[in-house]
Order: sequence, then C-alpha cells, then structure tokens
Amino acid sequence: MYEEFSFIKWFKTTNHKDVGILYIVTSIFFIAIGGSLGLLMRAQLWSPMSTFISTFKYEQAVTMHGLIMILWFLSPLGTGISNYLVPIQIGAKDMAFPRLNALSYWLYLFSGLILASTFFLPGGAPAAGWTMYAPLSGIQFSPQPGMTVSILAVAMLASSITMSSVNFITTILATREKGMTWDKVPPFSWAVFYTNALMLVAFPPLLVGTSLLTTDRLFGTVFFSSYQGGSILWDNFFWFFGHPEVYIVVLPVLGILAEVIMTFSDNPLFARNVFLLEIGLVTILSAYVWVHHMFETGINYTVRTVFSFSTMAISIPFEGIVLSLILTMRNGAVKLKMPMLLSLGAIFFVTLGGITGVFQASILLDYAFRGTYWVVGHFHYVMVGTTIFGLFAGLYYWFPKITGKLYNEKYLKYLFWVDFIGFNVLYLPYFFLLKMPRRVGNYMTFPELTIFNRIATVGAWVFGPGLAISAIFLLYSVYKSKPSKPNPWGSKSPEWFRNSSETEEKFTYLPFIISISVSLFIIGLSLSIPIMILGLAIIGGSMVTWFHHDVNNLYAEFKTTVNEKWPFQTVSKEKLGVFVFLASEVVVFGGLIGGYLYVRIRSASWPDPFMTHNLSIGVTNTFILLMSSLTMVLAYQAIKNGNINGLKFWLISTLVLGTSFEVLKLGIEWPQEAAKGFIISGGLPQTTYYTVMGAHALHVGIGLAAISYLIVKVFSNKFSISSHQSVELIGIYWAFVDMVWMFLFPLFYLL
Amino acid sequence: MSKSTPYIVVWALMIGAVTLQVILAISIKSIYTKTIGIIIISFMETIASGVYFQNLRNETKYLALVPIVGFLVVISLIIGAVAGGK
Repeated sequence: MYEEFSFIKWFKTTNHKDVGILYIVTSIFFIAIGGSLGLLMRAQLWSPMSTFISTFKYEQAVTMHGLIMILWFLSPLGTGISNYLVPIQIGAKDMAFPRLNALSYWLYLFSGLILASTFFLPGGAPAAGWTMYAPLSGIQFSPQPGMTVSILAVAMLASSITMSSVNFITTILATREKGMTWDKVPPFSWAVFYTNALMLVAFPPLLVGTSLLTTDRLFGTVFFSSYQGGSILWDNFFWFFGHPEVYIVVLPVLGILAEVIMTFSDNPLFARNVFLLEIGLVTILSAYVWVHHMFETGINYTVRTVFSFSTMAISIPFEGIVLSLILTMRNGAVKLKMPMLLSLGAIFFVTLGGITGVFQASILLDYAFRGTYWVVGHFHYVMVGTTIFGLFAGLYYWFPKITGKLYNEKYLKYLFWVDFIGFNVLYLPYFFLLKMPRRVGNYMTFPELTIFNRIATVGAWVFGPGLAISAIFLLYSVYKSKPSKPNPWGSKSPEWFRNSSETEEKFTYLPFIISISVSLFIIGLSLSIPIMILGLAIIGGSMVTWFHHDVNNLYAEFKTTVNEKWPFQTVSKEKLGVFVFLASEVVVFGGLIGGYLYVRIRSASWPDPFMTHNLSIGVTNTFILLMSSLTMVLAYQAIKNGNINGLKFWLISTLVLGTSFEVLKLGIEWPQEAAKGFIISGGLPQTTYYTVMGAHALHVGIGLAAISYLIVKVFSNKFSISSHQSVELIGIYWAFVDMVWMFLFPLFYLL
Repeated sequence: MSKSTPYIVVWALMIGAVTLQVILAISIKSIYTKTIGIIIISFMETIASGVYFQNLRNETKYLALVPIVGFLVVISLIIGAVAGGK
C-alpha cells in the first residue's frame, strides 16, 4: 500500500516496492524526454523541405529518441512493474539482493541523466543513430565528447541491467515461498524470469561492444576502424543484444496480458503450460536471429538462409502465445475495464507488428524494406504499440494494489480511444512510405509522400499528448481517487491475497553514492581527468564502506526461510547469485574472445606470438594463477575444518600470488612489450591483446579486492566453522578468473 | 585420502596440461593441428576446474553445468560471429 511520503526515504530505500515505484516514475520521466523528441521529428517531417530543425539536430533527435525510448523507458518500465509485483506474486520477502536492486536503479537513473546531459556538452548530443553504428560512432566521424559520454552511459546501463537480471533470476529461483511450485508461479513472474534470462545473455555483448568502442575513441585501439573489424564486428555485438531487446521489452507484456485477460475474462489461461513453453521457445530463438539485421552486409548466403529460417521460426511460438491469450476470453465473462481495453489494443498491435515483421525475415524482401519507413512502422507497432499499451495495462491493473486507490474509469476510456486512434493514425501511414528513407529529416525528392507524412504527424500530436494526459491522470488518481477494495477486480492471482506491507524496510545510501561516483568517473573519463579520479576515489571509499557494513553486519539482509527452490534446494541464494553472475561473465569473455577470433580469422597475417610476447612470463603467470586457485580452495577447505590459522595462511598466499600475477603482467611484461613498440594503437594484434588481457587483469584486481575483504574479515574473527559462506563465494569467482586465463593463455601466447 | 587431495590432483593435472600445451605449441608446425590440440586441452582444463566449484557432490548437480553450458554458449557466439563475418 502507498505509504506516507518521505523525501529522504527514496534516496536510501532498498525495499522492492519503493525501488519499483522509482523505476516506474523515472521511466515515465524519460518517456517525456524521448516522446518530445519524437514529436519534434514529426513536426520537422510536416513538409518535404522543412527547416524547423537543422539536419544535424534532426539526427541528434533521432539518436536520442531511439536510445531513450528503448533503453531508458520501455525496459525499465517493465522492470519497475516487475520489481513491485514479482516478490509479492511468488511470496518472497523482497528481492534476493535488495542493495544490489537499489544499486541497479540508481545506475539506471544516473546513466539516463548522463545521456541527457550530452545535449549541453560541446558539440551536443550524439547523432550516429541509436544503433551507434561504427565507424560512424568512432572518433573520426563523431568527435564530440557527447558521443563518448553516451556510449559510456549505455555501458553503465548495461551493467545496471545485468545486475538486475542476476537479482531477478535468483529471486525467482531461490526465494519462492513454500508451496509456490513452478506450476503455481503466475504467468507474469514466469515471463519476467524468461526476460531476465534473456537480458543476462543479451546485455553483456552490448557492454563489451560499448567498452571496445570506448577504447577505440579514447585509447586509440582499432577494433572498429580496421577493415577486419569495422562495422560488421560492431553489427554483431550490437544486434546480438539489439534483437533480443525487442523480446526483452515484449515478454513482460505477454505476462501482463495473460494476468489481465484471465482476470477480466474470469477464465484460467488457455493452455497455460504450452503458453509458458512458447514464451521459453521465443526466449531461446530470439538469441539466434540477430544476423537478419545484417542481410545486406555481404554475409555468405548459407548464413543468411539459416538466420532467415530462425527468424521465421520465431513467429510460430509467438502465434501460439497470441492464440492462447485470445482463447482465454472464449466463453468468459469479459469485462471491458481499462486494463482489458489496453490489453486488447496490445494484442491488435502485436498481431500487426508481428505479421509485418515476418516479411523482413525473407532475405529478398529485406532488401526492399531495409532503411525505409516500413521497418519503422513494423517495430513501432511492436515496441511502442504492444509494449506501451501492455505496460500501461499492467499499471492500471495493479494500480489498486500499488496505491490502495481506484481511479475513475469514465474519462480514461475516452483517453484509451484517443491513444488507440492516434497511434494508428501515426504509424499506419508508415507502411505506405516505402520510398521514404529512415533517419533523414527531409524528403524533397518525394513530394508525393507529403500527405502520408502529414497524417502521421497529426497522429503523433494526438497520440503523444493523449499518452501524457493518461500518465498525468494516473498520478492525479494516486492522491485524489477513492480507496479501493483489496481485490477490486476479483482476481485469483496470489498477489491480491497478500499483504504487501509485510516486506522488511532496509535503508542505505551506498547505492545512491556509488552511482553518483560512477557518473563522475564516466564524465571525467570523457572530459576531465581530475573528475575521473574523484569518481574513482568515491567508488573505492563506497566499496570499503560496503565491506565495512558487511563485516560488522550493519546492513543485515533478510534470511530466506524454507522455500520452494527446485532444482536448487540445497543452494543458498548468495551462491546461486554468484553462479548466475558468472553466467553473464561467461558471455562477457565470450564476446571478447569472439571479437578477437573474428578479427584474427579475417586478417591475412598475424604475428607469431613467440616473437611478440615473452613466453616465459606467460607460462610463469599461468603457474602463479593455477597455484592461487589451489591456495584459494585450500583456504575454503581450512575454514570448513574450523582451521582459522589455515584460512589466514591460504588467503594471504592467494593474495600474494594474485598480486604477483598483476605485477608480472602490468608492471613488467607490458612495459617490456611497449618498449619493443608493441603498443595498444599499433594494430589489431596489439589492440586485441591489451584489451582482452586488460579486461582479465581488471577481473583479477576485483578478485584481489574481494580476497583483501576476506582477510580483514578473518582477522576480525568473523569466520567460524559454521559461518564462512563469503570464502566459498569469492573462491568460486577466483576459480572462474583462473578458468578464463586457461583460454587466454593459449590464444595469445601459443597460437 | 585427505579432503584436499582432489584439489591438489586437479592442480597437478592443470599444470601438466599447460605444460603439454606449451610443448605442442613449440613442437608442432601445422597451425591447424596445433590449434585443435591446444583448444581441446583448454576445454579439458575447464571441465577439470569444475572441481574447484566446490561442494558439487553435496548440492545440486545442475550447478556444475553452469561453466560447461556457459562455454557452449560462448562457442556458439564465436561460431556465429566468425560465420557472420565470412
């Protein structure tokens, strides 16, 4: 229930309901920015040769509109609703890691503010499109610092989302209340689980891509400016994230639609198990369709055919999902309340958007449609129509649960029709604008397209304000509408029968402070070294404080009691969280190694590693790291036997070995190689070597910080034979870092 | 047998595997044979290092799949990226 307003509370809360509300409000703030840019673009397209805004400003508007709407509005609104509802639906006390949840939110907010700030930087906001295609987004063609800041803002958001995914997956796997078996988990929570599994795979490649783009811009690496890497390498990184992103925003909507339609039809979900299986199939298939965005890039025909097939295949389970939703209404007592109207609208949009998407799976038709407004129309039906109507259906549906109030439907239903008609007037004409090029602010060579453009602009100016009024009306209803019954819709879903105030309140400012310091670091990295150092210093201080809180138990997270957590019955949520996190790390290093192999295979020649690297240092470092893994596991073995002195000895040994690895690599090997002229900007062999090794060294450094924390803890007498989980968790991370090296060593030193 | 023995055995195997990789790299001329041999050994090391992810016998066996499935994902990523670039 909505609680008494306290301004300060919002900066330090870690409660899932508060964080959910923060996500929802912030995402609506970002749609105001992104939507306004969309309206500006439509105003510019009123006439073929409009001078309303300059060409460059139009390109900036296109770029920022896409980035903000997709990354800072659509996904986060779904995350906000999920944050509030999923723990209540599955009977968890909170998210599995409440502080991490708050940190994810603050990183999301500040990354968006950083992105928006680029409008005010010298050279302005980025103008390379939301896809940030390289080399257009490289330093040569986009020299303004706003481009660098934007890329880093996206990387920051990707980190936030990865953390959030780890949290959601662990929450759903490990903290369901007793009796909440998988067959009882509501469809919305199922959909959120799938969504986050997909996020865990999709966002790390974006993080890798943006990180490499940043090193290209700031440190002179040549990933995307070389022939062997270039635009196609970026395309692979970007679309491996970009296409699943469509499903990432749509899957929670499918869960919402299922909940709403079940409730307002008073029927169970038709073929529930098949419906859930189909969402799972869509999740898996969506990770294997990204190349259809690159059909025109000269990829060989066999690869294109495979991806054409996989793209078409995804429509099969999707049709099943829509069919299941429609058949749920059959013979039901359908009540056309506001959430139901919005859900029906979303089904209409997903059907039209889906059908127009199948055309583009065809290689031949893709050549005709690529770069035209057909594509714009298709993805707006899916991304905007389906998602906004679906997410708003969720907001209206759970509004009484979240606020304890019930809005007045009378005016809202008028607004629904305004939005529905406005949306179609805006986007239907796009399917007739086949000659109209995307991302271009005029169409003087096609004056006959003016009429369609003007219809679309009128639609935009109906749909946009209509949506804004809906959002304002909801906000107004929070304060002015009448109290609601506990379950006003008569739903059978479990969240309506639980008192959501049971959740424990925990507070800390650390996530807020860390996010500010990361923002300072990012802005400083692009603009000013002193600001960057300040940011790093505050990050370091915050992490030390975080550890201090943990060592002294100043922030006690809730303990899970006996829960349903098949198939991980005997695994703690912390350990499960580490494994889920490592799954994302696997994708990060997979992306880095994949990028390295990609450019290497495309290179006509590659220097002999025995000539460029010092094999004896490489072998020594390998032995050191292997030895450190052994000492780490012996440390764990020692504390399991209650041997505190053994734990101290093996932890210190691990720290010494890990530090030796870093000193040998960064302090001796790299300077030696640089002295021989093997520098980071020297070409692809150097670029890949320093970047991938640097990423690994960073992970080793993080591991060393974590081991130092363990050492502080053991000397503070915080471990015992029955309480030593953090040794195991950090040991798992350390073993992973070691395992990654087992691939990097042969790839860079032997082959 | 001490509880630490499996870890020490794995460590010794890893050291041996790395040594074998170096010997292969130095002694074999064919780049393809060398690459295949070395990468196979790396994967064997990965599976062996699963023992470091402790307590697997006491807990769910599914966790042991994480590194293995993870690297299968990576391989599919790499194949996709390389094939996509051809």
